[in-house]
Order: sequence, then structure tokens, then C-alpha cells
Amino acid sequence: MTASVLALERVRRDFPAAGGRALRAVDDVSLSLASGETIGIVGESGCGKSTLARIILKLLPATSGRLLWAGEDVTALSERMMRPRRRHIQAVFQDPVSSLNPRMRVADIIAEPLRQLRLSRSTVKEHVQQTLALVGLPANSGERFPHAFSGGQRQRIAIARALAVEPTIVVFDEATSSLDVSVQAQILNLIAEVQARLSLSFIFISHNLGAVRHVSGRVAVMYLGRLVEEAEEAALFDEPQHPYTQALLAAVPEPVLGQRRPAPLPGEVPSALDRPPACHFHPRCPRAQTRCREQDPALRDIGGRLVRCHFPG
Amino acid sequence: MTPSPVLAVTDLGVAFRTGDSDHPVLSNVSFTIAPSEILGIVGESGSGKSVTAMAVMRLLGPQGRITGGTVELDGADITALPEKAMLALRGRTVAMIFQEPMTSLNPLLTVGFQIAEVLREKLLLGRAEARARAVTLMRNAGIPSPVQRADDYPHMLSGGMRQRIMIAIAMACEPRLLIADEPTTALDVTIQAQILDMMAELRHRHGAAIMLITHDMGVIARMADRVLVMYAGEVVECAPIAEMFARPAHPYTRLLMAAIPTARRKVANLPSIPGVMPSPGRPPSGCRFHPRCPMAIDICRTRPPLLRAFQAGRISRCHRAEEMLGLQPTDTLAATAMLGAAP
Amino acid sequence: MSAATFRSSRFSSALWRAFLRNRNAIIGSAIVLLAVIVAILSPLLAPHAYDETNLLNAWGPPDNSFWLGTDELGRDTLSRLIVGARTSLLIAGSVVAITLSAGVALGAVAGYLGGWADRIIMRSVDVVLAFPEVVFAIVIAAAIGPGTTTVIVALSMVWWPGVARLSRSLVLTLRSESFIEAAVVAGVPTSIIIWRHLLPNMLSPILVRASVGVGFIIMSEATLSFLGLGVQEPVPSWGGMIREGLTALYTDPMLAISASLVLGVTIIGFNLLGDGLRDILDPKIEGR
Repeated sequence: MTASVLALERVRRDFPAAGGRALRAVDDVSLSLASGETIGIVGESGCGKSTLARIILKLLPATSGRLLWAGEDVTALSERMMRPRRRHIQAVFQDPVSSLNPRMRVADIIAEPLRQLRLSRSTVKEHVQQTLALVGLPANSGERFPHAFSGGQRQRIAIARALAVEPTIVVFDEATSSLDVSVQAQILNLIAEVQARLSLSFIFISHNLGAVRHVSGRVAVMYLGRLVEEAEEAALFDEPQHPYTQALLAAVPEPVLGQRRPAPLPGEVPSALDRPPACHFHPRCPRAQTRCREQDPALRDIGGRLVRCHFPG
Repeated sequence: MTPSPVLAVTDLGVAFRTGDSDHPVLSNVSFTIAPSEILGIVGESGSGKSVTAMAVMRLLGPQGRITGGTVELDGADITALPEKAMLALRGRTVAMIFQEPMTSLNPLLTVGFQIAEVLREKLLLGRAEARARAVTLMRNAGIPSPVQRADDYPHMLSGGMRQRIMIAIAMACEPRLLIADEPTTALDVTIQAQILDMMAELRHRHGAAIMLITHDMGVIARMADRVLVMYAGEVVECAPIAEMFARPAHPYTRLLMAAIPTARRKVANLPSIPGVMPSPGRPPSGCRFHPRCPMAIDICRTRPPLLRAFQAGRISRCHRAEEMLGLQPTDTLAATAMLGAAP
Repeated sequence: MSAATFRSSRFSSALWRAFLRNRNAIIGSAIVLLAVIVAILSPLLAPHAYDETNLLNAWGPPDNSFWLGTDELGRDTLSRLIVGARTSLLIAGSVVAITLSAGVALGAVAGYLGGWADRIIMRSVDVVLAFPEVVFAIVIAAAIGPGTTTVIVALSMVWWPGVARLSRSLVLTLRSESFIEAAVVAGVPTSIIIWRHLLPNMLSPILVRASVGVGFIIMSEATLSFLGLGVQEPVPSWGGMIREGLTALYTDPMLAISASLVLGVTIIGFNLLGDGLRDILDPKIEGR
């Protein structure tokens, strides 16, 4: 088994809510990322994927469970101990405007993670220029401020900042969601190219299924804090097993005519404060039976994929 | 004989004032929408699609003004209508819903009240009757337990529910035209599917014309009867939907459709459009798309293409449209109204 | 590059142009500049020594030698006003420097760290804000005796909480911006995050607040001197001169009037500058 560069073991995250109740944003999620792999995480609002991203980046502590970076258990490490390790996991966030300090020059923004490594000034400068070239920005971009760039270019800067320090893993949290279609395509291509060239491991979080399919090798689907299906990209998209995954794929409007249109999934995503008992999806599920209301389905391995359903298929 | 259009926009131009100068934002925009028709307006940010909607509603704000052309609602030009008359039209004859229902709803009033308010103001209904009608509208919009939900405040409802309330408010007076500006962009995919289905039904139930503005080609494919493609403040293509998907008449349309990553299959390399859309205030010479166009030829750099009508209801602003379509032009549209649905 | 690109130098010249177009800012900064120049060059500008008494010429009317007349002890009013500028601006400057550094730092720490640091600092803010400044000055004067130091200490104590509150709310807003998260992910230590990421983005509102605040500080200093708690004789201060002048208001009004006018105009100047800065530095130019 190839060594995993990142592993989550039964991670759970609760938020205290009014009336002594707890909001369980992430429920018993286990995930393993191998070297050179890209995992896509999809889900709608309230599914917990953003919280999961923050837990992976150690911006938020998990309530229980373990987090391993390159095999090392970092769950209990203090922020001070984390700092020297942080270079190995970097991130690109959703909003290209607020993710770059408007008062800093681009070169300084990209160099900042490098500066924590105590490298010589010339090494840092060289790295910055290399990374700018890698993401397709002109060499003189370093001297300017973020507001001089368009949304797509800013996102390239954010990617450059993540890559400059040569991390092992990069987490993309809705990194293309704020971009226009044509720009999104450019950035997705860039991500795929960088992945191939540098053999990095990526976690790509998005609600855009097409984007996830384009960059991911394996895909995990989340609903109300839980992982409901995890499989290789082709298997998941072409032959989804979990009813939620099937509904999700059916609901995506494709730019193609003559799509068969099954009835849309009824109801709304329940509040995370009031999760339905046993299988969280059963109130909306077209296949729900009594068992689904009473017995919590476990994540089972079915033919090389993981499904959390009593009646998959 | 085709029914007369609910909305006919001809050669519309809009400019915004920043500092001391006027910057053109829209030019030569022409289209029509027939009753019960859904016209999809698709474009990226900066294309001018939202400005078009605002111009039709005459909500351009103090900095914006219509610089030319006409906007005819049920045959009457509203470009020069005094504000008082426009107020009577808004909400009654033409209604609009936006992307963010949270900011369109007053957080301090119950949703039932806000729907009833429109009914009382516009249709002069009494309080009890307005409330009853509001509940009916909510039920028609697919809101469960509408009697109880009517007393909820906006923050108690989910995004999808709020958007249904917005639609209920918009449809309260049975408008002739509904303008929806990115109505489902902020919603989850599964909720989006519900809302879109509901909107599609509106035109059958009420006979309303719908102007659906979106950047999402998938939504267009699902909903629109005809499509208008906008780029840098101009209309570049207009066509019935099946025809457009089968054979686009403008390179931008073709590239736009190809650039969308689809969940149906994995593509080795996603075709992307290099460069960035120019701001309409400072367009390149000749065709606005030529710097990014893989099909650009010499004439594209020097002469701006006119919007031309072709057979089969196709309209395109491209020097090479004949090649792309395999059709001949019928007449030039420079300043005349655009044809409506195909005969 | 796209049409969206423009040089960073064009950014600051855009600020400059906005400045030139703003009437408040121009008038305000002209007045302030004048006051500062007078304060700096006061020994050279004053025609007479500020403490040169001449009882034979007490309450003298304005003439060639004494342009604004003389006061109770025959001292030249004009010279005393000029030196008074130095006093007022020095005190105001010191107070601004102290309150800005202490207030911004404490507010930023409270906002960014939250928890107990936030609670302690904000409760101190509440406690201090409960006292009117005069009370503070009196207490401190009783402890260390009246004088310039007393005024600076008292006013600093009174003004830092307001700055701290502003700083804290700015930090709270900025904290959720993802460039802060990105800095944490990059492994940047907390102190550097505050210094490099938070503070520069707080500059504008704090600058505006400071310029308007200076006007009030000068006013407060004048009040304290007026009450006899501040700058002591023979060093002139505008507030003290107003107090003196009031005793002879009906017979020799020149002292009171001229001191009040100078004080008023200077405060107006700072206020105008603050208003102008607020207009200029607001989102329009910030490119957000």
C-alpha cells in the first residue's frame, strides 16, 4: 500500500449551538490521500466539506478523530509546533479578492510562505520568478499589487503562493467557483498541468461536479457531514451507487440538449442541527424503506468503492 | 401569424458615468421576447447581461443612462417614460428576481406580509384577501405548509425557499414579463433543479414571457427556447436553442460551450479561451472578440462586424458566420428590430 | 495584459488627484500646515519674548510693536499665541502618538486573539470610558501636580479606549478575510500576521479618526489649561490665554478674541482635514 501523505481517521467536528445542542458539521469522516493523487470532495451546502477543509489544514481543531500528515499524528500539536510543518500542506481559497492582502506586492505575497524557511534572499527571489512562470504570469507581475489583476490572474497568484514553498499537498477550497466559465477552464487546465508536472497530491473541494470530474482521480460525496460514497472518478460519475449521488448527477444541468429529466429531488437539505435519525438521507430518498429510518447504514466496501446505503445500486 | 412580442428591444445603448466621462457599457443590443417564451441571455461577467435587465426595468441608477435605442413593452416605448409611470409598471407588468434572495427581502417583515404588500399596493386588494392570495401564491410556488410559513421571517427559510418567495412576489400580479437575473446561481444543484422546473411551469400557467439571465450554459440548455449570447456589451448571437447547440454561429459561443467541464465525461484537455474579456469602454479595434478568436482573419481586426440575420431565425455578429452556419444572410440588422421566433 | 491592469504608481497618483479635488482636504491641510510651521518656527516668528513682562503696558491696545496688543502683564499677545501653537501642537502630537500606538496595539490584540485578552482589554476600555476627562485630569493633577506632563497623561488615558475599540472592530472584520487564513496556512507567526497583514489594512480608518481626534485633543488641552490644570505660567497656551482674556472681556477683548479665533480655526482645520481624508480614502480609491 502506497504511503498516504494525508489521512483522516474518524474525524468529527461539533459546534456548540443554542439550547445546549451541538451542530455536527463533520461526522465520522475517514479519508486517505496517496502520493500523487487528487481526491475530489463534492457536496451541497451544509455537507461539511468546507469545515473538513479547515480541519485538514489545521485551521480548525477536530472534536475527535485523528489527523495525520505524512504519517505523523498532528492532531494534538500546538500551533507553534505546527508552523515548521505547515509548508507541506498549502491552500487555495475561493475568493480571489480577499485571499490576497491588497497592501502587499505580488512578489511578497508569493514569497511569504518561503520567508518562514529562512532561505537566502536570492533563493527566495528565484523561487518567486520560477513559480510565476509556472502559473503563466508575466515576470514583472511581482512588482504590482493584486488590484491590478483580474479574478483569474489573482487566482493564479494564489496558486503560485501555494506552490512556491514546494508543498506535498495542496487543498483547493472552491478555488474555481468564483470564476467565469472561460477563466475557470484556464485554471482547471493549470491545476491539471501542475499536478502532472510536479506529481503533487491535491484535495479539490467543490460543488461543481464537472470541475471535480476534470481534475480528480477519486471522488468522495458528502451529505450532512457524512461521507456517503467514495469511488474512482469514472466509477462514481458513470455508475453512481448511492441514491444521493444519483440525484446530484441527475440534477446538474448539462450544456446538452435532450437530457432525460427525472423528477428533481424533493425537499431541502435538513438543518445540521436537526439531522434525520439513522440514514440522514432517508426523508428525501426515493428508495427509502423502514430499515433506513431505524438503522444507521455503515460505510461499506462494495467492489472497490465505499457506499453508505442499505440499498445501493 | 406570430403574436406581437411582449418585449422588443431595438439598438439599445447604455453608458455609465464615472468621474467626468461617460463609458459605454452596452451597444446595439436588440432582441424580442414573445408571450410564454423563455429567452436565455448568456454571457460572462462584464458582458452586459445584467445591465440589459436593469435598462429594461429603468433601474440603471444615477450613474447610468440609456444613450439610444428603444425598449418596447407591449408595444409602448418605455425609454422616456417618467418615473411615476415606470413605478406603476414595475411589479405589475414587468417583475424581476435576483440572485441573492436574502438581500431582496426585508429581514424585518414576515414573508407573507411582503407578498401581501405587493397585492395590496398594486392590485388594491383588502388585507384579508391579500393574505389569502399570498398563501395561494406560496402554495403554487411549491412552499410546503404555506399557511404557517407565511408568518416566518426571511432568515428562518432556506435559500431555496426564499427564492420561491421571491418568485411568488414577482408573479403576484401576473406580470407580462419576468426578468430573472441569475436566479439559481446561489442555490444548491438539487434545489436549483426544483426552482428551474417551477419557473418553466410559470410560462404555461401564466403565459408570462421570461428573460432568464445566466452564465450557466447548462441552465440555458434546460430552460431556454431561444438564446441570446452577449460579449463585451454587444449581442454576438441569437438563435433557437436546438439550432444553437447543433451549430453555433459565433466562435465565442462555440468556445464557451466547449470550455465547460461536464460531469458526463472526463476530457483530456479543457478547451479554454485565452485572454480576458475587454471592458466595453475600451474595445479592441474591429471585432471585439478578435484578439481571443481562433478564427480571426484580417477583416476582423479592422472592421467591426454587424449583427446580421440569416435564414432559420439565426442571427450572428461575425464576419465568418456564413461559413459557420452554411447559410446566407437575409438582411442587415444595423438599426432595425430583430426578428422574433422563427416563422 | 488586460484592460484591468494599471500600474501601482497610477494608484497613488489617483489618490493625489482625489486629494486635489477635495476642498475639505485642501483647506484643512493648508490650515494644519500653517499651524505646524508656526509651531516649529515659533522662536523665529515671535516678535517679542513670550515671557517679557512690562507692567507699564498692561492691556495695551494693538499697535505697531504689539500687533494684537498686550495682556495683563504687558506681554505681547501675538508672540504668546505663536508660542502657544507650539505648546498645543506638541501636546496634541504626543497624545496622538501615545494613543495610536497603545490603542491600535491593544485593540488589535483583543480583536485577533479574543478570549481572555479580549475580555481584559475591553473591560478596561469600558471602565476608562466611564470617566469624563476632566475628572481624570483632576485626579492625576492631584497626584503629580498640574503641568504639561499631567495634560499629556490625562488626555492619553482618555483617548486610547476609543482608538482601541475602533482597532478591535477593524481587526474583527479583517480576521475573516481569507488572506489571513492563507497567512496562517503559510506558517506565518501571529505577531507578523498582525504587523504585516492586519495593520496596513487598518490604516485608512485610523488615519481619519486620528486627524479628527487631534482637533478634539487640542480643545481638551485648552479646557484643561483653562481650568488651570495644564500648562503652567509663564509658558503660554491658548486655553490659558482665553481664561486670562475672559477676565477683561468687556474692556480689552483682544486677548480673548484672538486666542479663541486661533484655537477655533486650528480645530476646524484638523476637522476639515479628517473629513477630507475620509472621503478620499474610502472604498472608491481602495480598488476593492
